[in-house]
Amino acid sequence: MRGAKVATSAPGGIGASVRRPDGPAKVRGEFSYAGDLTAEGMLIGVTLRSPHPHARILSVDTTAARAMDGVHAVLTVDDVPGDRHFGLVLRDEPVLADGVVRYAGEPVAVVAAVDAATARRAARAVEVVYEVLPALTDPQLALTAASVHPDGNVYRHVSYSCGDPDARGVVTVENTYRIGMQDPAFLAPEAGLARPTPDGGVAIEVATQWLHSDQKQIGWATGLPPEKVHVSLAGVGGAFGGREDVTLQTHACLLALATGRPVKIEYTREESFLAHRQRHPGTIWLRHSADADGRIVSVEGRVLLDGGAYASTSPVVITNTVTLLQGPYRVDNGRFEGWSVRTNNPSCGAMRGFGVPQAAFAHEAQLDALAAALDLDPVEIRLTNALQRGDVATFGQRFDAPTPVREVIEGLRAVPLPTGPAKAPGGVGRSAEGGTVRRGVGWAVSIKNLAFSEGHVDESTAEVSLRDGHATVHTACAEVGQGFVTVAEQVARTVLGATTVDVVQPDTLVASAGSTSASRQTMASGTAVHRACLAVRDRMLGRVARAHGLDAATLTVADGVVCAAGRPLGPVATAAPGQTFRATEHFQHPATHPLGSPEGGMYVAFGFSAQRAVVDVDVELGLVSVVQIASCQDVGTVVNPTQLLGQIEGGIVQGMGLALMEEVVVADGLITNPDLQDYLIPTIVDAPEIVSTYVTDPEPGMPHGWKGVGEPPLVTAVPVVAAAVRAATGLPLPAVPIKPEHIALGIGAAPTVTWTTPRPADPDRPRGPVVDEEPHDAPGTMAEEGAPPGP
Amino acid sequence: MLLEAPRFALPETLGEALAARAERPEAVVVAGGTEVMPDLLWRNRTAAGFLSLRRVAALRGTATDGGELVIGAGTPVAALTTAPDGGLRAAASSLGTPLVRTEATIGGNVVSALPYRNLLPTLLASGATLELTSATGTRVVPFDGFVTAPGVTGLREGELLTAVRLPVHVGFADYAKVGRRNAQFVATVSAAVVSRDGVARLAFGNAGPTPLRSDAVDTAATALLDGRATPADLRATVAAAVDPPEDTVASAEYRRHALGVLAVRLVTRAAVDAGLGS
Ligand SMILES: Cc1cc2nc3c(=O)[nH]c(=O)nc-3n(C[C@H](O)[C@H](O)[C@H](O)COP(=O)(O)OP(=O)(O)OC[C@H]3O[C@@H](n4cnc5c(N)ncnc54)[C@H](O)[C@@H]3O)c2cc1C
Repeated sequence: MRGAKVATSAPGGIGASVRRPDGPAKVRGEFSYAGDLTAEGMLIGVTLRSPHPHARILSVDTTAARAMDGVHAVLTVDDVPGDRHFGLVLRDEPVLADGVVRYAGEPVAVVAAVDAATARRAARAVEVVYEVLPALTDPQLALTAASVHPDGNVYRHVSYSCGDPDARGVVTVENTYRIGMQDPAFLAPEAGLARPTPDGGVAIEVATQWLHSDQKQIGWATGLPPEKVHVSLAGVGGAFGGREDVTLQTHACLLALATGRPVKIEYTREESFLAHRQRHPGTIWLRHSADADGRIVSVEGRVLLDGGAYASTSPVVITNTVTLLQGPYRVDNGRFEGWSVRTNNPSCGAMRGFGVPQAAFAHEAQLDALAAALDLDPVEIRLTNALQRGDVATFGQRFDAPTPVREVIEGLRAVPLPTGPAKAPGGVGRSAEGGTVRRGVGWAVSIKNLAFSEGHVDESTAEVSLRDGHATVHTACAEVGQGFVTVAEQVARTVLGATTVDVVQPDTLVASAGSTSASRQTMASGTAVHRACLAVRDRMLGRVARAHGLDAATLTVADGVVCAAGRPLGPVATAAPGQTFRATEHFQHPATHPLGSPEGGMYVAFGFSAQRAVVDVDVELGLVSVVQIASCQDVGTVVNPTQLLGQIEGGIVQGMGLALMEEVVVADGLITNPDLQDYLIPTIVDAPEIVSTYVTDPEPGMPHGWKGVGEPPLVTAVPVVAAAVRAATGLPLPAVPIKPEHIALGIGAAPTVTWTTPRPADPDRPRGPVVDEEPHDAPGTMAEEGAPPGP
Repeated sequence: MLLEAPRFALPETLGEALAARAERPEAVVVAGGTEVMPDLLWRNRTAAGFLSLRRVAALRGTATDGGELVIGAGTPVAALTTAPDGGLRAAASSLGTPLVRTEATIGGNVVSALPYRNLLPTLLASGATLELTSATGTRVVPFDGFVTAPGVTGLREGELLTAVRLPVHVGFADYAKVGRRNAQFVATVSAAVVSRDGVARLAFGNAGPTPLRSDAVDTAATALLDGRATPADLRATVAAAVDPPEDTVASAEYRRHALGVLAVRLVTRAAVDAGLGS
């Protein structure tokens, strides 16, 4: 790690590489994941799913299944006591299929039985008669085809312009880019255990990203008030957005309530692929115009994202993609439009990057195409156009926090190129020997919005207590591997001077922390913990002041010691023996506003990242070895250097996976590769050397100056790998994942370059943004009263 | 759950194994289980019982017999990563992961009979033979022709594959495999070469429904080896000889192309080894 200014602080405080409390158990295989949950008298729940992407259900007969020995419940939509529909943004998805199935894998019935084999047999014994309907699988056709859902086929249409979109420099480059459907591919399939509670309610332990969203949606279906639905976090084995939507939560609770017994559901790998949300596949058309120096004059873009059968966060993802088509560059003139649409393909939703990797892949390919057309250096063209603090985005928001785009590019430039021998493309297959391997170097820079957007409330609450130097921190922030467990501990050590810290397993006994997504939890829950620690510290110091007859205003805590006017008084651990101090504090970011709103910005904050990839390509066979990815990222204050590096490395490898191999292949609405033999993710042999450097400008308004870091590394890795492969091969490669045959057979159209007569922007055109359609008229824009936000 | 299957035989000697095979023709033979278990999990196969070969020590190990290397069918793939035959070594080293190689056996790979399995092209290129044994005796058949369709072999009822025999030769043998990542991948296509006394023999994986070789290809390969033909000639001959599948992993066109590239590279390696090439 280079260039990181790490704050010095109390041992184990902010800036230290504090180890995860669950680390040793995970390494030894002793960690209890949700799939390990068990309870006395537990039943096993199994889901019967539709084999068809689109069909009418003519009848469901559960008689035979119910009559089987060992079967305790068989539920269909008619057994849902509350609201039959749920969803993160729109309530358009049936808890169990209601007359129609709209994707292959849609739950039709759920069974609880004494063991898995019996439950599976019973599920097979449920007789469903389908009338197969034509499946709408082409998102382009979805715009005009008959609706496959009463709410229509368009989740959201976004369209706006800024300045004069018809302004021209000397050249335009345009192309159409395609991004495949990526799966979060977390290693521990969905699992949870629900039990009826004595008060007539239900409790569920589940691997999730958002406890209160689950609680609310379980409440809708069961008809129970929130205080009777208790959600607690079970051990999570990866999430990446794929656990943000409800999958088995409601089913397990309905079965537990119906049977009066604990019910566990654990998906198979195949079910996991069928049930959770994937990253939106999409097509993006972009046209950039630039002057001879490479300065961007105007950008026009059009996006079509396939949202699949149900809304999930499709209405939110599309705005991310469309508004960030400009990339981390200053764009004064532009026209942007996008749709997220409903089809009978698998439903797509949140996945690390949330619509932005798609945009980044396209805008970075365009920057390279512009550089090539104008014979400019790819780094220089990025520096020429780099956003700066004070610039205004195409969507009208002023970048009023540090905007270190130039700094991340310059920081990256300082990293030397790799010199050592590299792993050959083709790896263990040894196919490259005797062939020709060409090296390529590519650059990419990205912008990622951090935290929730467009008016979705971004908040968290923390309860902290302190007694004899031991702190307890309680939030509903789901730990999914990102490291909030150490952040909370580090804050309690630094602020409170705690010697030991217990981070309580998250549950719904404390107020919502929002989702663990959108790179937001250090900013939201970390800040709530910080505030609660300050309140506890002040209470403790007040007590100490009274006991010693001192003025509380002169007391501070430093390195675990209470000081009076800077002089040590004694350790925090013995400052008030036997006394417990407690506080609950809430944090909420300043409000954001929908696109086009005159009131203010859409986004809370932004993170910037630059990467350089070095690849070796066996051009004849189309095989790639990623030799090195160097990264320089805008990370605010470094809270935990090891955890930070983990986010950078993991994000880069996941982004590289999308660039080179990861794709859920859907044919006629059916996933053809729902397993990890055919859905390939990078192995450690594929992972490159990663060099990570940072720009550490503190984020204004955040305690300690921290900011979100989890998504940008993935966002940048997708375009940077593609850029390096293009550099090695000279091919346009407008689609990811790049398949060997795209390289070997030269598949994919090159950008169209057109030389133009310069046409300055019409000064009378409003700076913008001018929204062509009222956002609240569009389906899916927070239309639902009280609907929870997307990330 | 899977082991609750009604009958499970765990013989310790070959005699017991053959007796069990004769008594329970419906039982699924399990060696390493790295094919059988995923198949059961994914419901590609059902089992009315199992016959495990794991404890049959006589099926494990490698010996030389005259001019032949005799590999017990139960020999783990991990043991083949140091085999004297370069082709077998390369094919074994790129099979699965270290964990899989420890469990997987050569016998399981051969009897799986899937065209993309690693070891098959090397056995075909080297002219291997198979020992097939039943309670009534042993027959030795060429590997060439043993696989008749994907997953289908000439193994008869009551028979076990007991050993694979390869000619021990002083020539050059190698194997290469193409996939979509750099480790732990199913071959999109693969190829093996054996060259001896100036004659090259090639075999291909996933180039058709069964492991594939052709005299025309070997003639062209031999011509390339001694400089009488160009790489383009060999590629064209390979393209005409193969009939690869088209699926979501790769197009038939890519496979045909990649098979030609592998053929040329392997023959070039053989030429370099023999001091013939550049
Ligand atoms: C994660 C993973 C990765 C893999 N990667 C690869 C790879 O890269 N390349 C590759 O080729 N394969 C791969 N495989 C498949 C498998 O590991 C190999 O084919 C292996 O060699 C099979 O051997 P086994 O002993 O495990 O077979 P088993 O599963 O025990 O048996 C396979 C078949 O052979 C039959 N059989 C086994 N032994 C005998 C015998 N002596 N006589 C008669 N019939 C017999 C069985 O009845 C069954 O039909 C992979 C498997 C996994 C799980």
